[in-house]
Amino acid sequence: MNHRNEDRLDRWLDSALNEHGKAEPRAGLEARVLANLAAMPTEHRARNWWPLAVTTAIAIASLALWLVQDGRRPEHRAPHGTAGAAQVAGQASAAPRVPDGGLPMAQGAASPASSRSKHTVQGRTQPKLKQFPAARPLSEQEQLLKAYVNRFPNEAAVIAREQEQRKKEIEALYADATRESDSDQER
Amino acid sequence: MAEAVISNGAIPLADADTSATNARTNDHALEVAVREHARLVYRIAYSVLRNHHDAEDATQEAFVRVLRYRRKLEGVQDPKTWLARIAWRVAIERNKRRPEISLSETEVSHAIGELPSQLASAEEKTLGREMALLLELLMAALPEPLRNALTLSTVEELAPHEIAEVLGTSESSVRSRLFRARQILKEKLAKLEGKYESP
Repeated sequence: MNHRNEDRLDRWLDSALNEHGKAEPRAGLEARVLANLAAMPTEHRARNWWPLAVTTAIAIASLALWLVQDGRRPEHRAPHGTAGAAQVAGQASAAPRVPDGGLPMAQGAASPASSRSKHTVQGRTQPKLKQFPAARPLSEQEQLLKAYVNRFPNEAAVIAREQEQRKKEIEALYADATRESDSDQER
Repeated sequence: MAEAVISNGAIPLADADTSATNARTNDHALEVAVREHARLVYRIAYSVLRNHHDAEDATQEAFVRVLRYRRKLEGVQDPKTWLARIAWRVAIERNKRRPEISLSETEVSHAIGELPSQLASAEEKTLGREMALLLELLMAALPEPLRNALTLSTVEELAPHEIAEVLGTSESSVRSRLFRARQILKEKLAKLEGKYESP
């Protein structure tokens, strides 16, 4: 490339690049930009509020879920009670019932909240059964009773036998009393 | 809620986050930035995108970004360069999403055919469409650092030190890149001219 030719190319390039950079926006660019920006804050505000909205929604959903679960708990407790009674009755046939005073309650007595939560977890882990009331694990009191019977079977048997005898005596007395009252009425 | 009314009285800008005074100051700074530098932002966008519609969209997007960071605007020492950098980034991002420029064979041969007359009367004539496209094509073939420096140099409002700020490099590096870019373009033009004249 000779010097003259280079000058010519330089001039052309200057002109071409100058032309290349020439760009005039449509009239009113600033006003359009400002108008667009003026319309923006609503979105920005919305963007600032959405985390709060999401948090609130999550809180409401959690509360609703908690309420629903809390509402279900008595249903769980009802079978809990009946099943517990059935199991205790079943155990009574196998192992004699122990009077309340004989139970070492302080030994394994957990707080009601912890036992409640334990039951909830246990209830959740168990599959839903078709049987009603659903079988459920022994309560702490029942477990203590079972442990006592396992540990002191003889004492438990004696207590149970005495209980049975007392029960029979009471039933016999009650039967006599009703028979006497019936005969008095007949007279 | 803080509201500031932009000087023409028609456009309110609201800000829920800052106090009323801060919001007004920020909004005022933003308004000043728009009024003073919207054209610069537009030209930077146009130098990259080569399309008025896209350049305007990029300008809007750039100022939306400024709005997002308008609290920083007060502390910015050189708002012009700061805005130029934002505009440059927005334009580059948009350009990446677009298909590359391509010239048909007819357009290229027509542009090359016009090259000698264009070169002869560079000062008098404005570039034809094909010539402008040819220049774009030649610029697109440049290595990226050279192309970026040359593209920004076509924006008349930007001085070499401002181009350096936008590109995150030194002024001497920008000057060197511009020199090399021009050399490459001249060589290519000379080759094209020779190719046309030789047959």
